[in-house]
Amino acid sequence: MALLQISEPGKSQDPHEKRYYIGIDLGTTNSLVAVIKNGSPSILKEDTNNGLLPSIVTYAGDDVFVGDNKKNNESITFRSIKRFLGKNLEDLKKENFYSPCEYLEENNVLRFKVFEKLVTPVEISSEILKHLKNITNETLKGEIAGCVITVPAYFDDTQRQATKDAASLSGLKVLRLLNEPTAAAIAYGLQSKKISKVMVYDLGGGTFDVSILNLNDGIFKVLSTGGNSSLGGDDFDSLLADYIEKTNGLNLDEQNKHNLYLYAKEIKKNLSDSESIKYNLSKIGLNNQDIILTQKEFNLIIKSLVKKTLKISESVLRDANLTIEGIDEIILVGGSTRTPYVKNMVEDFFNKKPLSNINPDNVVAIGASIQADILSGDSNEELLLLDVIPLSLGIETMGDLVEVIIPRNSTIPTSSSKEYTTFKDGQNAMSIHVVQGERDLASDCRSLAKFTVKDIPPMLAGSARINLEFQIDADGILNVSARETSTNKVTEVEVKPTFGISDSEIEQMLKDSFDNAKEDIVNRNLNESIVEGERVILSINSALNIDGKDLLNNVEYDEICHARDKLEKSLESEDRETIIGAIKNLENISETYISRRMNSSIQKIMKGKEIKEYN
Amino acid sequence: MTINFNQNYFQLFEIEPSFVIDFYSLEKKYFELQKKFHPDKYVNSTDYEKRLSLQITSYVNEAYETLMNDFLKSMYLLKIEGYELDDQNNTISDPIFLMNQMELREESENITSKKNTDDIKRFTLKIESLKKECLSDFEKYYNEKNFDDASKKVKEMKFYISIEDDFKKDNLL
Repeated sequence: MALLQISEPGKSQDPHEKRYYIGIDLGTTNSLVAVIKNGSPSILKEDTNNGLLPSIVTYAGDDVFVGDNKKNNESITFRSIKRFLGKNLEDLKKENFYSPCEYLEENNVLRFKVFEKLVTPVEISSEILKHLKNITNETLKGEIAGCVITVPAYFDDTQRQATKDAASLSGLKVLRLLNEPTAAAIAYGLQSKKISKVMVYDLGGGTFDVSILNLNDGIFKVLSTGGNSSLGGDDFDSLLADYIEKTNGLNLDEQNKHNLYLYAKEIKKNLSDSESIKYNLSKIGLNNQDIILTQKEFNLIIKSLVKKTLKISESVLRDANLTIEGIDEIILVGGSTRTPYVKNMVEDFFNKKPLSNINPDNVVAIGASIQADILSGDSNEELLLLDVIPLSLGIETMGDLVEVIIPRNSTIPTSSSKEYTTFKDGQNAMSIHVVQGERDLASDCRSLAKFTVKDIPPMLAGSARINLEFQIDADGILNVSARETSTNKVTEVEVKPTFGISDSEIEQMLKDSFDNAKEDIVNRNLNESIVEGERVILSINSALNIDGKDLLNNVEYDEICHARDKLEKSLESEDRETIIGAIKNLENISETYISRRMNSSIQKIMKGKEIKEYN
Repeated sequence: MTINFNQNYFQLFEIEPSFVIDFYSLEKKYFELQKKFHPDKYVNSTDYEKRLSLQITSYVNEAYETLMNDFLKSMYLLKIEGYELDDQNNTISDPIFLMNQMELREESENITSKKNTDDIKRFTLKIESLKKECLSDFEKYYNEKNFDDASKKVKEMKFYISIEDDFKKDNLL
């Protein structure tokens, strides 16, 4: 096509000005940019680094620095800003984030007090993207036409939106946000395989993510994901530092502890290439003594952490309804997978040699650059990505219980509808509470939205039919509409989460759903009995109002009222057995009354009819 | 861009309505439909087309997930035959089954309280085989067009799935 391009005079394109489509890995610890040059991907490097840009942003006066810069006492430095994207104040309190300065919430957005200014996580992230953009402009001498940025597979809508916002702040046009595990699979060219199941094991500096993808003829589907947002290579370093401190009988102050931690990082790296290494603590100003550390020793130190990652992998496997044998390929991502022990443990566990020939630090950025190339139209490859929702969506029903409407790991877009009914006679409104999470009780899940269906025509309890329709679009955003089926009145609401759910919260929520299953069942049973008790009280009251005085003598009437009051009181007891006992008691006492009511209603029907008709 | 929303899931994927289905053909057709209708293919289209693409792929995803799940598929097969099993209509009155149901619940609670790994494994396998048996009974009744008994089997299955879910929640991790 380029040969046929005709340009207007004076508007002719500069032949040296090329348009580039880039791939960006905006990581928690490091960030990278890659581009396809002459058909093959390459990582763009600054003179000063190996392509890995530490995701560290330093504010010093009016200046902003990105990367590992010299700091002074006056500057404010942000590390791992990705953890703050799409979060609010409440999240921060829950998760023990470390902030280098004071922060506050304004208009639902978290802001840091950086000197005189308020700065959001989106702005801080955009500084990293701006820096990557500069690296690109300096090395390529062309125009950046668009980019693909990678995000963790579990990122929710708010976190994805925040990533997009950071890109537009930095002047980058986002063609697509790409899931990190999918990017890794693309980097290995797995999309050309006919059918396969791929596990992506991503152990970075501070985070662990594992995902299972289903690849079929150019279509990638995320089957399940999991992870731990505070587990990574940095934890290996601190464990090693602790071990060195203990075995050498050192008792270090904060500063020396930090120096030892940095030294441990170096020791760990060197151990990747040899069976044992000799180190000397004089290097960090401690006693001058040669000490030998073997790989075996180191492996023992990190064993429990590596086992933890395998346990998480196992449960993600289970979520995908797969066994170890069902996995065709394993991809290692993240610098910490260079540790030989990690590699070996993964290989032993899955009984398969993992793919690791692409530099595990670069693999995600490379995949992103390939995808950018495909979207630019320059490539012949066809790719379609099918995504899933990371946490179940449900609504709160009577007694704080959750009814799941769309289970987690459902492919999106998807829709589902459910019918609900009124609880009381003449009820004309119903409030709907949409929650996200895996727990049985609504109060233990994340609240997404609350709305009210109004103007329900007054009917007997249980007669109105409210149809709720849930629709999740391809971006994972939920829309709910409610309709009363007898009147067809529609109430529509968009349920856009006001803040994101963090990955560790997802993990915690999943963990809690198992840990607390017992407690949940007890609560569920209790709540069910309370609801049942309330229902019985309501129906006995409405019956008594209608014909209680006609069908019962005073003694009988009082007896029923007494049993009802007893049931009412038992509802506060928090004890299922007591409540069920009181319900049974009331039912027994009202037995004669109920049979009299039935007789009297039959008599009413037969009234005025000739006996003949019943022959 | 259009699709017939009134056709049933089997017609959508162009496979015969039966309990045993050809997963390969199903998956192939599923991906074909996704490639054609996925919202990513309509990023620069009109709002109307975007909405349509959303509705079609939602329908396709629902259909796929129903047919890939034995329990949902059985219910759906009966629905096609006019046997709708909704939440109000799913209690089993067969006293023998009710007895078995209570016994299984009790057994499950006992094992959960003792936390013996062998017992947990044994019970998991037991439920697994009860489910399998139930499914093969369903298949038999369905093929004989005995939809009343087939419905009973679906209700039974629902119970096994619920007891299995609770048991897994209690005994995992």
